[in-house]
Amino acid sequence: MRTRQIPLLVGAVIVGVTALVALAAPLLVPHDPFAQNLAQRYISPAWMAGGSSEHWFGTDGLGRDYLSRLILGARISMLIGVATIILSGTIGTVLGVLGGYFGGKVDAFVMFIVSCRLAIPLILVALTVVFMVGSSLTVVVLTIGLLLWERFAVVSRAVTRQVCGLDYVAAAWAAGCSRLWIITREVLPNIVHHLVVIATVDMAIAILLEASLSFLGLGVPPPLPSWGLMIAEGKDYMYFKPWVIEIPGIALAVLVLGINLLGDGLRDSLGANTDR
Amino acid sequence: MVCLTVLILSFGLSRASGNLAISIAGADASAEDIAKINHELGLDRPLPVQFVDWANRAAHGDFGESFLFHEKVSSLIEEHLPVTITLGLIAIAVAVVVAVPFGILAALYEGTYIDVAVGVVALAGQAIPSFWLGLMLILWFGVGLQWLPIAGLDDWTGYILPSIVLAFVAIPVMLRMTRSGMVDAMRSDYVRTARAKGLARISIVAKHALRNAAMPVVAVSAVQLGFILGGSVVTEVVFNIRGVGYLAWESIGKGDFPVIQAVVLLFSIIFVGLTLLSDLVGAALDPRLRGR
Repeated sequence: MRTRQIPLLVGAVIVGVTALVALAAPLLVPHDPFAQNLAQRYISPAWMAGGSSEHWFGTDGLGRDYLSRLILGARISMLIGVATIILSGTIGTVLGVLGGYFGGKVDAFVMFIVSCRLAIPLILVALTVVFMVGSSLTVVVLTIGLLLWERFAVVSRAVTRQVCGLDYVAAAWAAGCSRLWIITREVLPNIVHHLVVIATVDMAIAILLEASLSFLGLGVPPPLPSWGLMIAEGKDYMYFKPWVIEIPGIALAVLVLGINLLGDGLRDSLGANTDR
Repeated sequence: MVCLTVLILSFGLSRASGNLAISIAGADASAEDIAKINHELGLDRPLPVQFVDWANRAAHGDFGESFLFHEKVSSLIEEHLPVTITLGLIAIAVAVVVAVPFGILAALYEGTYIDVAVGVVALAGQAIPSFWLGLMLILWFGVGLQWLPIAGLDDWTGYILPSIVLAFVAIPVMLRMTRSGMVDAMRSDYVRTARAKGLARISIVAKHALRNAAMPVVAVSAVQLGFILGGSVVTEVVFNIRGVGYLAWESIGKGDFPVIQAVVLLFSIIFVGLTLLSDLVGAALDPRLRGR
């Protein structure tokens, strides 16, 4: 195997395993992730002094099993990642393809809203929206999804323009195909590999953004075990028990790294170089 | 044009939130109190009137008074902004100093294990959530080694950890840009010519390739500074730094809309300004971009 394919493989394994864990979360959790037991607060993980195999990753400040919460947290992160890219991918691709295909005024309008979106400070606006509407999983997904489409729009616009200059689009036009047909049957299939790469980039960003929002207290509401929220809850106790923030932080970093590796690997093997 | 839209947006954002007066007066306030507060704050006028009034005063630098701090928003921001800007500038400098050399290194050894290693480290850097990195640095350097303060900006040592965390956001992007720019440059005709002339490798890299590869990086650092400032909320909360980001976070949590409006608008304008600056710097450095 070539050296360049190793990152792709590692990324695919990380994302695949996390996705499986997320899907099978209810079957995998050793304890109820919401069951509190104040007599068993901050039990250390099994590999440390004072830990036991009863709670492999210890317990949190309310005595809830950390491993169970981590597993359910994978579900939340994956859900956020997938749901937001479906939403933002749809918005961005529609805008980008329309702008790239029609050009002229349509394109100018698309670029105008893209630059408006870029000028908006992402975290601040997301925080404000979640504060006003009230925090829930749906609100977080909608907020991030509605804010994170600009990369899809920019890339799909650029590649649509490229594709539209190619002979097969001209041939389809000459053969009397409608615009809708050309866009859905000729253009989209030929830009989809670029979109897949962008999807991985944005999925990673969405997951990190959700974690940041939850960390700041305006993301996924407790008692749901978002990894960002777990770090926020453990923050005040980190000086005594560093593992309460280390475990969810490492989980988050590994998942995002996996997604990025997957995206990078796909970029190379699909020949979709959008880096430049 | 973009500014105007953001203006409308930042206004709409804060007025879409139901009854402001109730959140200030408390849930059990009487209807009279609420009407009084509404009137005092001018919230009983029609929305377009409120907007035009607000935008007009905002254009003159008057964002009204904070509901909670009972201080002029402009002076609140004036008080908090220098810290955020200073940190942002230090961070972007750190990012350039780290990203450019490693980008060059990766490009010169393109396709080797060094290149792959730099790429993976950059990806890993991108994967680490900045608030978590901040907390871990506090644990290692603040609590474990006790080298640096864990919060606040009492002296210059307080700036070290926050600027590292802020720089982390920009490093992977700038590293990749440097790398791909250098890879292109090293393959170009003028580098081949320089080689054929028998120039030393160091002078080829520094004089010929880097000058061309660095241009987009310099230009993009202005945009990255915008992202860094926008992301300052998280870092300032982690390190308990009283900058604009912290101010905004506090205001959002309490529904202090004049402040939120002003900060969102401020960051947007700064971002638009930096994007423009980035274009200008790009054009100044690269004559080929002029007149396009």
